[in-house]
Amino acid sequence: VKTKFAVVVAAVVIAWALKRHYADARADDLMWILTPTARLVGAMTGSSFTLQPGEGYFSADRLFLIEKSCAGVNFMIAAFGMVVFTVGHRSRTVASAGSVLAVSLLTSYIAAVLVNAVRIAIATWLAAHYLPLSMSSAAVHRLEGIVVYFGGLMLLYEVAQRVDRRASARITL
Amino acid sequence: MSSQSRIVAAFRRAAVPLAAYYAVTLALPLANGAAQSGARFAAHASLVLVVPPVAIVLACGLYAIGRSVSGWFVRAIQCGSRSGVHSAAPVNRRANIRAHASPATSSLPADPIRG
Repeated sequence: VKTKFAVVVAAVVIAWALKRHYADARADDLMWILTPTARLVGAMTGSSFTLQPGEGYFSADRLFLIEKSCAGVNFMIAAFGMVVFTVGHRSRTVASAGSVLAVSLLTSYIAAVLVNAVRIAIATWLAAHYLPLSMSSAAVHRLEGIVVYFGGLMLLYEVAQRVDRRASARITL
Repeated sequence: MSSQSRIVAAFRRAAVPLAAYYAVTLALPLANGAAQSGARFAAHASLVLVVPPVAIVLACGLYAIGRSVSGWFVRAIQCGSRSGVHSAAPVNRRANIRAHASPATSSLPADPIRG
């Protein structure tokens, strides 16, 4: 119980630290997440994103800027908390607690890059195509963001649960 | 499973992702004083609150439609593969077993319990 409580406390501290870093960071400080996201979006859409110091990654042909607010750090925090909640019961020793936190952090980072890249790729497609909707492009972008981020969290939760169940079954065998 | 119970099950399944999403998009900004921005945050909050549940209900609807369409296709293929039988009635496996087994040679009871 003590180890699990320590994991929860550590997870809250990590999430808080991420949030603080994100709040204070400039675009240049978020290259650890912006760079892989921009590269993945470039691979998905076939357009090239170039680094604009202090701004983020810009695609001249799509007129699209991947800036600080597009970094997906909030999604990473949500995903991290969710994965810790899903696999946190595995933390029985200090080593396993450390593994749970490390795996959750790595999983949430990979998920954030993937889901955010998908969201931006869809957003660039939506921006390039006329949609006969009565909504503004900003509202469509926001709506798309909510759907993709929430869908990404749902998918990640399903995957985490399945992996956790499979690992439990292997231990039982 | 009725559509209502399917939706309830989907919401139960989505509880953790929904809680994580609301925590980051609503609880954290509120804790940081986002409520002071007034109407702007209210518009954001209403959209964030409404869209995920609507997406869950829509996904349930699409899933139900997908299931009924695929079930219809499976039934149509099964009906088509049965030689000489042209019926749109749903295929009953037990009825098929009974129909194809001769009563004199079959050792199966009329309604076997399958474990």
